[in-house]
Amino acid sequence: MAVRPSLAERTIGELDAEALRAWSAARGEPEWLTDLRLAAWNAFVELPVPNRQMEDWNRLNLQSLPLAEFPAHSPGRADSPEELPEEARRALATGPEASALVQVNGTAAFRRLGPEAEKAGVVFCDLARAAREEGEVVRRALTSVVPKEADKFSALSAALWSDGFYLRVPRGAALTVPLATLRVRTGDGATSISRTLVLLEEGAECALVETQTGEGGRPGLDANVVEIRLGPGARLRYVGLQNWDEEMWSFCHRRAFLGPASHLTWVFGEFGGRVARSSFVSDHAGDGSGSESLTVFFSSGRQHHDIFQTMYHTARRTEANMDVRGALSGQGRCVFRGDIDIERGAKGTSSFETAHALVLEKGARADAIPSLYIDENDVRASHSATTGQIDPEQLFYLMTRGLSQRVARRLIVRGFFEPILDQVPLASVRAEFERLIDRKLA
Amino acid sequence: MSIPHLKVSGLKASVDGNPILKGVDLEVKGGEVHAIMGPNGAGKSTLALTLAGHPGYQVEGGSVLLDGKELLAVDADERAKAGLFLAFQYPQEVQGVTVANFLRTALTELRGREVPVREFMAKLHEKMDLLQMDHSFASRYLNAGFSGGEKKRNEMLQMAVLEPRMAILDETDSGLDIDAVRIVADSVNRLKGPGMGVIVITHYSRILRYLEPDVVHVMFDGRIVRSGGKELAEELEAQGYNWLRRELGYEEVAEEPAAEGAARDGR
Repeated sequence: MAVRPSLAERTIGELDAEALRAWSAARGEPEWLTDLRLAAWNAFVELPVPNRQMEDWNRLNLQSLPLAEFPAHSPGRADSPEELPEEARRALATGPEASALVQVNGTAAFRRLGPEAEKAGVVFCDLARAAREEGEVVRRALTSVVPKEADKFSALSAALWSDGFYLRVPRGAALTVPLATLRVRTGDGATSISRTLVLLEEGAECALVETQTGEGGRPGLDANVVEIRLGPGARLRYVGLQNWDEEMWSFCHRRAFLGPASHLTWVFGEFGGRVARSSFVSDHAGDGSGSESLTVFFSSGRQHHDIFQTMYHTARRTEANMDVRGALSGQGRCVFRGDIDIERGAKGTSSFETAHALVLEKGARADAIPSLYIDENDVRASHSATTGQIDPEQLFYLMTRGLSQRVARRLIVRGFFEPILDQVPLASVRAEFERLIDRKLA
Repeated sequence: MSIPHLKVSGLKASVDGNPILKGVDLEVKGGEVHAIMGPNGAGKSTLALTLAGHPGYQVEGGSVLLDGKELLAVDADERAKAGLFLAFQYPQEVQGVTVANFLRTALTELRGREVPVREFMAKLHEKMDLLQMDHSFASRYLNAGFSGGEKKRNEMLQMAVLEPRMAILDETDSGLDIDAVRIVADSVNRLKGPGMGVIVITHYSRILRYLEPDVVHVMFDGRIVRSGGKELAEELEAQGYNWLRRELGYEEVAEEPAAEGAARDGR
């Protein structure tokens, strides 16, 4: 019996197109997918590692990223939540009626499909399976929102995702129970390359919570792309909770294509990673579409977060609102970039962004870089950004009531996050954000 | 429980190297209301903030004993735990933290154990009723967007809930606001008792018309230079501080009458 080719035996630096082709074939993938992987691999090889000469990446130092040394794939397994690390199990604490997909390292582990989703005809499975079972839909959508050559890490995701996540909510189906995906990195896993494809058909509604957690132990690589397409009138609440261990190099690129009158709420929690680049684009392509985004970050220790958000408006009467709040401690560093880009013809656009950072210690640093590119007159747009510190007078006031400095700081930081947490649409997500903020303050 | 006892002896403090307090002596016991008056620049607010442990004020000497415990050796939170409370002239705003959440946290810290929500809310509502406050106040963010009067009310609520043994009310400027004066005076009258001593620091004598002090002290150039009954406040109201300056051998200045607050009553 022939040994099934494995990517786990090779590093990214040792991988070549032939090995990738053999691996894809052995997985029984359709030919179009093998071709897509190979084209993406070529793009990956040709694209430079992002560097400071590139405008979108100029605040990130990737010189010490050992990209070629990571394994091309890390195996892993788990058959039930009980086999997952405790930190990961929390993401699935939503009860057995909720739908969940779990990956351990880069490998699909287990799946649960809740009764509501099943009854509504929702397809929620790994992307590899969807490519076999509804190949035409997947073929048309995959890399249609985030091109494979968008950047080096997006190309890596398109070439090497092994199982991925896929969600398709059929026309008119409105789900009340959130769906969850979870990616876990165990201590012996190094690479987690993945891809999520979300398709909401006309009038569909749901909430999707994507969580990443890691145990650490050695340097890790996360290359992830999330592509979202919302049909006319569809409504999605998307939560990205990044809670990797602090040895992870994480590169996540998300983009949503918003059809007419569709609406997207993004909620991001950026807590983990050693270096974590998180970018998203809301592409308001349909008339009357709208989005809002809430981003909470907390950069501590030696973490570097690079958050890049773009509201792109091409259609008429579209609305967007970006709200970012983050705290920094230790030698934490966060660069937040928010672009509002309004094209000619996007009449009646409203687009706003605000960013607030609270720097808790001297060694930490936050930079907010808001930009407006407006090529249309009939618009309303604005941005504002503040960076502040805890006012010592405020601290003294609380201490005179008996609060120790530690407790007083915690109260002030919680209060700082409250206005944004108050808007988080799912109570369980809000509670998890609070827990992770508290843990950073401990 | 013993009667609270504050004893300040020879307290000296400076700000940025400038001596402000030059040897303050003061003794206050539970059940007593003391007023400290004095012209601008006498060091009244500095005294309040130094007693509470503000890190911007450098203690140069002396001692502050509350029930025999030396407060100067510990930080502001430890002083609160010893039973000291300062009602601020200008309380800080803290966004995102409700009055209830803040007070429960404070009470938990003071007692060194978690205060159950039900027990806490019962206490909070009891004190709000005592001070004739609307219960919805508890869910507002701490001082955020509060009017001057609401801030004062909130300080008094904190005093009522935290039940200090010695309360300092820094009302240096509040002669300017008749509502604030009444709120503070009414609250003290409702809350005072043998378990709490009160020190009201004020520039204007008006608050003392609503609040009967047992002892009036006059502070001048970093020291307490006169102590007496409430007739001392009346004298200051009638004559201003210049007679005191003359007696003490200081140069007289254009008067800022102690009764100025009263003069503005008719606004």
